[in-house]
Amino acid sequence: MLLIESLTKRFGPMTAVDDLDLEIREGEFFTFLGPSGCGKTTTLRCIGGLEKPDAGAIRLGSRALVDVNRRLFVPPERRNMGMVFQSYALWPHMTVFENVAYPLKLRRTPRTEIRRRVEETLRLVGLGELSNRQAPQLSGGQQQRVALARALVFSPEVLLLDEPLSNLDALLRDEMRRQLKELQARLGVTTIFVTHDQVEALSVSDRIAIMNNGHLEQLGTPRDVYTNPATPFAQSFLGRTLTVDGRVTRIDDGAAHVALVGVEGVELTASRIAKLPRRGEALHPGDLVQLSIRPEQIAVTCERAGNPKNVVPARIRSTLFVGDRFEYVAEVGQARHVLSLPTTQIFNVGDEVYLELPPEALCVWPG
Amino acid sequence: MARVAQARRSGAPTGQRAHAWLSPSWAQIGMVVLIGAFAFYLVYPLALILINSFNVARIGQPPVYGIGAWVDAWGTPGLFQALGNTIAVAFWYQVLSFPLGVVLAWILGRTNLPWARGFEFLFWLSFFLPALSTTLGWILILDPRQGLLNQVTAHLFGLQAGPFNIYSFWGIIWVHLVSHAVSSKVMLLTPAFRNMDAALEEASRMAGASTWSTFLRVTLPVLTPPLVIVFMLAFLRLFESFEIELLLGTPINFFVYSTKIVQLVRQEPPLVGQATALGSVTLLLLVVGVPIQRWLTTRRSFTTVTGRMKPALIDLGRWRWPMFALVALIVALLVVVPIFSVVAGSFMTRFGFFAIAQPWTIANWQRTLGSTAFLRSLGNTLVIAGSAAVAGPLLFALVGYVVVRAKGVWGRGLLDAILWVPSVIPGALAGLGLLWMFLGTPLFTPLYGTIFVLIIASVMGSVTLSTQIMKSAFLQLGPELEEGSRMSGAGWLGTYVRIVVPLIAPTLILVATLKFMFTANATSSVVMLATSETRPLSLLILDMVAAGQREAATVVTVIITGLTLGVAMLARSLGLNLGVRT
Repeated sequence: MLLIESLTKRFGPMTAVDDLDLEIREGEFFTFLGPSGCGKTTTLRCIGGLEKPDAGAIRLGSRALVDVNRRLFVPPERRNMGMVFQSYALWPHMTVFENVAYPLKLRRTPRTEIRRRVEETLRLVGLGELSNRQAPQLSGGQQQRVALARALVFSPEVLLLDEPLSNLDALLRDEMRRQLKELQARLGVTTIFVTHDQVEALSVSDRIAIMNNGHLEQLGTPRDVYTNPATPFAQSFLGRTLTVDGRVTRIDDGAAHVALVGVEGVELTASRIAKLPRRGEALHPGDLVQLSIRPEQIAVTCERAGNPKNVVPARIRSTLFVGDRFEYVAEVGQARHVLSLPTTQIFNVGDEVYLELPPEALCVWPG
Repeated sequence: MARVAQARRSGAPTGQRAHAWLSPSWAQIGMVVLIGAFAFYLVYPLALILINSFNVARIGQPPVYGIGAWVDAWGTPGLFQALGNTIAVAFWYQVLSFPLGVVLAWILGRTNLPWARGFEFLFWLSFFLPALSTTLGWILILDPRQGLLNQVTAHLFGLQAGPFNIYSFWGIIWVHLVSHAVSSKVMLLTPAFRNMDAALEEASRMAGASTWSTFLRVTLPVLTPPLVIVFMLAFLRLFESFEIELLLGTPINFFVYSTKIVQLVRQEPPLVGQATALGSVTLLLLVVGVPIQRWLTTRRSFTTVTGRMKPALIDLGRWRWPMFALVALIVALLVVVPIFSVVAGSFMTRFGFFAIAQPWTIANWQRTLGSTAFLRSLGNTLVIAGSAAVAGPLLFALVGYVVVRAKGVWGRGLLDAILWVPSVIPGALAGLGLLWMFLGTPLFTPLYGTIFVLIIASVMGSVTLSTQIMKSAFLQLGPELEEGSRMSGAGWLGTYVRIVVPLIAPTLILVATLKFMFTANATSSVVMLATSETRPLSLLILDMVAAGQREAATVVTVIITGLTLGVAMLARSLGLNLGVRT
């Protein structure tokens, strides 16, 4: 178990990580997700010992890695963690074999043992036959595998991954992502992964920590953070959302009834009400709010259905064929929204359509 | 040049090649003219050295071919000894300065040493501090009798004489170390260390290596290409060395090849034949260096440089302040001590005599600034350096442009290769070649003794560096900017004048300041070509020292040092950034 307690790291006037508390479980695939500059990489580097925090402590099991109050700092070479860097950081003056063998040499492993374990690890990442190549001769995907092998060869307690997939092209990234997940499940090594890519984070992680401005925005399983975003930031960062403005008319049974602003005579019912910024505050009729919904939960029809509840009229303004689906720009009142629809549903520019927004998918945010 | 411009107006765009900016035949003629002009200017004087080593007639007389000069050279004691001395100096110079320079560059570029940027600037300043200034400054400290340090140690330990003698082999090595040997390496290597992808070192730390182990196993091997480049460049440049050996070696009859050549040419009667034989041998040794030099400075190394926001610095821990003190001491020896002692020396009644009744005076300044010799030399320096600063950038901008942009025209590579030749030719040999050219070619003989000869030699001085700077400016420019102008309707010349020149104006000024600075400090390339009428300030200093007028020499040194550092600061503000590409 890796325990982070009130971790703070400043760079000059900027606070990269601000009083962060976190617990990462043993064997877990844990992801820090957030935009660049949110503090996720700095947190990872503090865990690895590449940055010295300004305050706080990090513990691995019973062992303190860093504790600012006790002036204790374990240098990176004594933390027994493997790390894959964004640039891979393969040493250009060594062959693939030498790169992977380096951590074992430093641990004074016998020569035959080194050979066995390097070959085993290279096979594990799918690079058995390339061990005599120089690192710069490899493709991006191969370099990435070598970096992974180098980080795993000495059976580290924790594996740190700093945006390892961001330099790969899209197809290879999908493939590597899948293999990374399988490998981690097989080895059971505690893995801490840093990424700004939500699809990567959602697909590989056991738990995700969404970070912003050095703070933790939300912590939870992928399904949890996607379907129940805790903050507007978590919602907008993870997946696409469609947002409309409205005014609360009444509240009953835990659902809010909201009249849309800019579209006459449309009232929507939303059964999910986001946590308010300040405890004890509640929504009142007359409050300005925002309603948000994942676009994939909107049903689009040509005709007004029998039951006109939670339906908003819209007009198609443009269509964009993007291969596996259509992207439509639909106008609701004065506002324009992008909808993705399967290629089986075809509309033309100018068509009147109806958007059906299920109450359980609509979320109310204070305006 | 005019020819190229004219050619463009008459030639129709061919559109055959993306960058064929002249119709092929005219472009070809222009290129041949350029190659011919530069070959004559840069290679012909050197060829004259080789040819005339077999000419036994007096210089300026009809040639008589024979091997007399070689026989005499072989029989003259000390002639080839000078070549051996050159290599001995080079050996110790590198053995001592290279490891020190590498470690200092690592400390400045990769660790959290306090005030590292400030130290880096001082090493840079030391690189531009004229060798004359460093040498005179240290003579004041280490002169066997009057040197400050010798007086102090003799007094402290009750010795008859101080233990240090700057007029010795080790004195020469010491002055080299505090002059440019260490500072040039630190200046060139610190950016290479700083720009290295920090993740390469961090990966090693994560793999279990300590800071020191990472330095040896990862940092040094990864930076091998720039290290090799800097090592080789320093080795080739060492043949350039002249003033230090002239001032410190001549009194003890210690000659390197450059001081020997100058001594043979300037003695009465001059032994130009023997000087030429010695020059030929050196030339043949060095010509091998041309392709090596070109290969070293143009190849891409395998170091990865990523655009990280800032590399993480290595924590020196409790060594931080001791290391600070050590680097500060080195910088003091390189910059503070020589400047301080030259300035102090210029205000002394008698150079190095502190114990006399009135050691301090401003009489040196009054006397020197008022003397006609000084004023004449000041005028010469301003004319020579000013001309080089104006002619150099204009000429090299055009040549650099042609080398970069004239794709598809034959001879681009040849022109580039010719431009590399002077990079390994030390000033003493270039001067000797020009001496033969002006005295041995009847057409040019009337020019000998005029300041024009010195201007010619000075423009040649840093052809390679100047064209390299211009070339990289053009390479960064991106052809679209010019293509946009062509599409808008401007011709080649119009594009060059309206788009290219304004965009590279800062680079032109940078090259101008460099030319001014190098020319003002040149000694070995002009010492055989100048007369007492045309000698610049740098030669005036050497003559003053030779005549025993040390006090006046320090005054002139202070002036030339101030001038050089002022211009260097100007160049720095224009983005002068010397470093090894990584």
